[in-house]
Amino acid sequence: MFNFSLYKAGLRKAMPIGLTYAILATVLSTGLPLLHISSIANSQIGFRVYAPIGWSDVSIFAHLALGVAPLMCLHLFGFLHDRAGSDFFHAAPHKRESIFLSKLTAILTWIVPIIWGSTLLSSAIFSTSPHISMINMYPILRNLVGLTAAVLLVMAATLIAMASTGTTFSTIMLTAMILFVPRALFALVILFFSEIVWVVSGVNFGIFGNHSLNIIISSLVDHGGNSWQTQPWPSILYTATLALLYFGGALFIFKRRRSEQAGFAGANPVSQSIIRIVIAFAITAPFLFPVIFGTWNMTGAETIATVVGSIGGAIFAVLVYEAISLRRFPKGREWRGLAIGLAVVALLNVGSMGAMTISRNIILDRNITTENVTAVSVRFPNQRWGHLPSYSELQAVDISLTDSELIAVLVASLDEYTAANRIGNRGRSWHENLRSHYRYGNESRYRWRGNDVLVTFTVDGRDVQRRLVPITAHRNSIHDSMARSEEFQNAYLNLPANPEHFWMNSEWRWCDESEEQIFLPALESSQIREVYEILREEVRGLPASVWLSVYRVDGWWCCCDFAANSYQQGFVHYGVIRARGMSSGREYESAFPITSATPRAAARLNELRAAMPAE
Amino acid sequence: MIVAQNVTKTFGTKAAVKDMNCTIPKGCIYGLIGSNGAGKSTFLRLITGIYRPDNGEITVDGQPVYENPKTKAKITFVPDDLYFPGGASMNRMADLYANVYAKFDRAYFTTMASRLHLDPKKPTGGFSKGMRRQAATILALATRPDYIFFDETFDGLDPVVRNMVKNLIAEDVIERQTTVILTSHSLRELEDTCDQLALLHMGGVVFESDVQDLQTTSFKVQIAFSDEYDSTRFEDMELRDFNKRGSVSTFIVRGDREQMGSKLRAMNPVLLDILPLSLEEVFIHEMQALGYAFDLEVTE
Repeated sequence: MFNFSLYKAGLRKAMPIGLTYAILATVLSTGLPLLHISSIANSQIGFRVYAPIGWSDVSIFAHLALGVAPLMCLHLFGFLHDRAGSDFFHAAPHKRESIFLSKLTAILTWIVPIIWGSTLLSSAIFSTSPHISMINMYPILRNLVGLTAAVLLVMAATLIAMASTGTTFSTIMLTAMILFVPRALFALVILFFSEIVWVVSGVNFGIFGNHSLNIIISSLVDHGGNSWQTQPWPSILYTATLALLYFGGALFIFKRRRSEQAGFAGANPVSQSIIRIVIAFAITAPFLFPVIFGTWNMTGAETIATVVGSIGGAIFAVLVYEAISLRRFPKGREWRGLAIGLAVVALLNVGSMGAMTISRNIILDRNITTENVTAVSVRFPNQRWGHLPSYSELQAVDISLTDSELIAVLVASLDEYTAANRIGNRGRSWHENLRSHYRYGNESRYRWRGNDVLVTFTVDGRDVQRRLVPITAHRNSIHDSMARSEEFQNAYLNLPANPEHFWMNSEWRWCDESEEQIFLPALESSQIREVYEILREEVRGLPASVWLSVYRVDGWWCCCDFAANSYQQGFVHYGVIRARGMSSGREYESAFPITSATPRAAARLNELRAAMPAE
Repeated sequence: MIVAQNVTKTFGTKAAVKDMNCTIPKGCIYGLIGSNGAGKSTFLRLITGIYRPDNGEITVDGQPVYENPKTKAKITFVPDDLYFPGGASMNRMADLYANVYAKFDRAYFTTMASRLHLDPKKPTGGFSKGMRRQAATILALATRPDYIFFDETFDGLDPVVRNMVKNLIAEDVIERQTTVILTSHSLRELEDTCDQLALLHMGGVVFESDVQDLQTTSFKVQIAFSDEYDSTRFEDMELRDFNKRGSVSTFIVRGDREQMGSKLRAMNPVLLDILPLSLEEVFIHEMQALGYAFDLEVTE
C-alpha cells in the first residue's frame, strides 16, 4: 500500500515547489506580524487602538496551499500526462495504490506542516505582544483543521481529474467542475425552487442547500463572512469526508487508468458522458425553467426563441467540449452516445421540474395554524456581514419561543405570504407577484426579499422551517413579542462570564456641556476587566427594556451591538468595552456600552481614567 | 520463461495484439520483427504489465505480470519513447530508478556512464538521441533485471552507438544470463544479436524460429543438368521458389547441408552451387511458405 522509496522520490520531486512555498511562508509569516505590531505600537503614541487578531490575519500564507497543493499534484502525478512517464510508472514493480499513496503522502508531508507552521508562527509572533494584539488560539486551531480539510478536498478533486484525463488543460477544467459544479447545480435548483415556493430557503434542502458546509465554496461565496469566523465542526467534517470520498474515487480511477490515456484530453467514457450531461443540463435548465413555470414575462416568440436557443446552446457547448477534449468532432457511433446524453438531459429537466411542482404543492399545502404550532424560533439575517457574531447573538440564535402572540403573528405572516405565493405562476415573476400583493392597499407595506426572516415552527412536535418576508406591522409585532420573551431577554442581559480578551480604545468625544472635544484614554486590560465585572453585575439587574434600548440599533437586536444612538435614548455614553471569546464552539466579538444606564460601571471607568497619566 | 497464451489487446475497435501465443525461454535474446502497427510495442507493454490483456494470459516464470510487483521487479523496459523528465540529469534519473527498483546497482551505473563517456551530472535534455539511448540502456541494466525489453532501441542509431548498446546488452547476457527481448522493424538490426526471432504481423506471431536453425537449414541451390528436367526431379526435397532458365535452375531447399549436397551430387549435375541464405532471405521464404505476403517494410 505504501512504499518508502517512492515516498522519498516524491518528497524530492516536490522539493522545488515545497521549499519555495516554505521559505515564502516562513519569511512572510514572520515579517507581516512584526510589521503589523510595530505599526500599531508606533500609532499608539498618545492614542491606543487595539488590534484583535483573527484567522485571516494569521492564515494568509496557509491559504496559498489551496493553490500550491494542486500544483504539487500536477507536478508529482505529471507522469499521467506524459506517455513515457506513464509507461515508466506503470511498468514499475509497485502496486498502483502504492504509487498513488506514496506520492500523495509526499505532497502532504510538504503541505500540511507549511500550513500549520506558518499559521502558528504568525500566531506566536502576535502572542508576544498581548498588550497590542489579542489572539484566540482555539478558533485558529479549528480553522486550521478546516483549511487542511479544504486543501485535501482540492487535492482530491485534482487527482480525480488527473486520473480521468490526460492533459493539464483538461485536468484543470475537470478539477474546477468537480469542485464547483455540484454546488452550483444545487444552488441553481434551490434558486429555481425558491422562485416558485417563496417560503423555502436553503435550510429546507439540508446538506444540499447549505453551501457553507463545503469550506472551499464557503471561502469563495462567504468571503469576509463565514470565512472570517470559526469554521463550524459540521463544515469541517463535511469537507474532510468529501475529501476522503474523492481520494477514494481518485484511487479507484487511478487503479483502472490505462497508460495510453496519457497525452489525450478526453476523459474516460463514463466521465466524458457525465461531463456532457452536466454541461447540457446547466445550460438548458436556467432557460427552460422560467418558460415552464412562467416566472419570466415572455411573448410567444420569446418563449420559442428561449427554448430553441437553450437547446441549441447546449448542443453547441457539448460539441465545443468534444472538440477540445477529443481534438475532433464526434464520428460514427459517438453521435448516438451524444443523442442519448441529450435525451438524459431532457429527462433530467422534465423530471426535476416535475419533482419541483409536486414539492411546491406539498409545501404550500402544509397545514400550519396557531392551533398546531407549539413553539417558534426566529432567525434574522446577519446584517453585520464580515464581522464575528456578538455573544448575545449566539445566545439568541434558535431560542424556542412559546409566546402565543408571537406564534399568531408568525402564522398570520406565513398565511399572507403563502397566499401571495399561490397567486403566482400566472406569467408574472416572483418580484411582480410580491410587489402586487404587498402593494395591495398600502404601498409602504412592500418589502424586499432581503428583509426575510427564517422561522422554525414546531408543528406537532416536528420542526418546519419557513422563510418569510413580514410586512412592517408583522415585523414590529415580532420584535415586541420577542422582547417580552424571558429567554430572549436572558440572552442579552447575561453578559459572557470570562471573555478571553478585553480592550478599550482611546477616543476623542464631543463633550455635551462644553461642546469641545475631550480625550478619553484607553485602560489597561486588568482595569477594563474590573469595569466589565461591575457592568456585568449591573446589567443582570437592569430591566431588559433599559439595556436593550441602550444596546439596540434601528430596532434590530440581531445586529445591535453598537450603541451609536444612546444619547437619543436619554443615556450618556462613556465608552465601549470590547470583548472576544468563545461560546458554544464559536468565536464572538461583543461591544458593551458604558452609559448612564449602568452608573456604577460608568463611575469606575471615569475614576480609572482620571487616575491615568496624561498620554 | 515468458509464456503468452491467446493474448488479445484491443484499442477501441482495433486489435493491436490478437490471440497471440509465444514462449520465450529463459536466457535467450529474442527478436520481435514487425512493421509499424504489427503489435510489437503493445506486446512489450503487455509483458511488462503496463497494459492488462483483454483476453488471455501472460506469465513470467509462471506468475502473472499485471499488478504483480514481485514479477515486475524482475523486468525492466526501455521503451521507444524514453522517459527523461525535463531537466533531469542521469544522476537524478539514477536516484529515481534507485527509488523505484530495489536492486538498482549504482556502482554499475557509475562505471558504465564513465565507460561510455556520459556525464551523469549533465541534463539529459542536452544529450543526442544516441546518448539518450545509451543512458536509458545503462539505467535499465543497472536495475539488474532478469528480463529486459528494448523497444526499437537500435532504430535510427549510428553504427558506432548501435554497437556500443549491443555490446552492453551482450555483456549483461553473458554475465547474468538475462533474458532479452528486442523489437525492430528491421531484420538486419537483429540478425547478428538474437538467438530467436519471431515475426509479428497484424497482432499475432506468424513465424518463430531459432536463428541458428534458420541459417543452417535453408540454402540457395544453383544447379544445371545436361538433359531436360523440371522440379519433379527434386520431389523428395523440401523445395521452394523453383526457377529455371535454360538448363540452370535455382531454388531454396530446406534440410541438412551435407545430406542435401550428397543427394544433389548423386544426380550428376553439370553445375552445382550451394549458397548460404541471408536471414532476410530465409525469412521471406519461410513466410511465403506460410502463405504470407512478406511486408517489404520489415526488410527495409
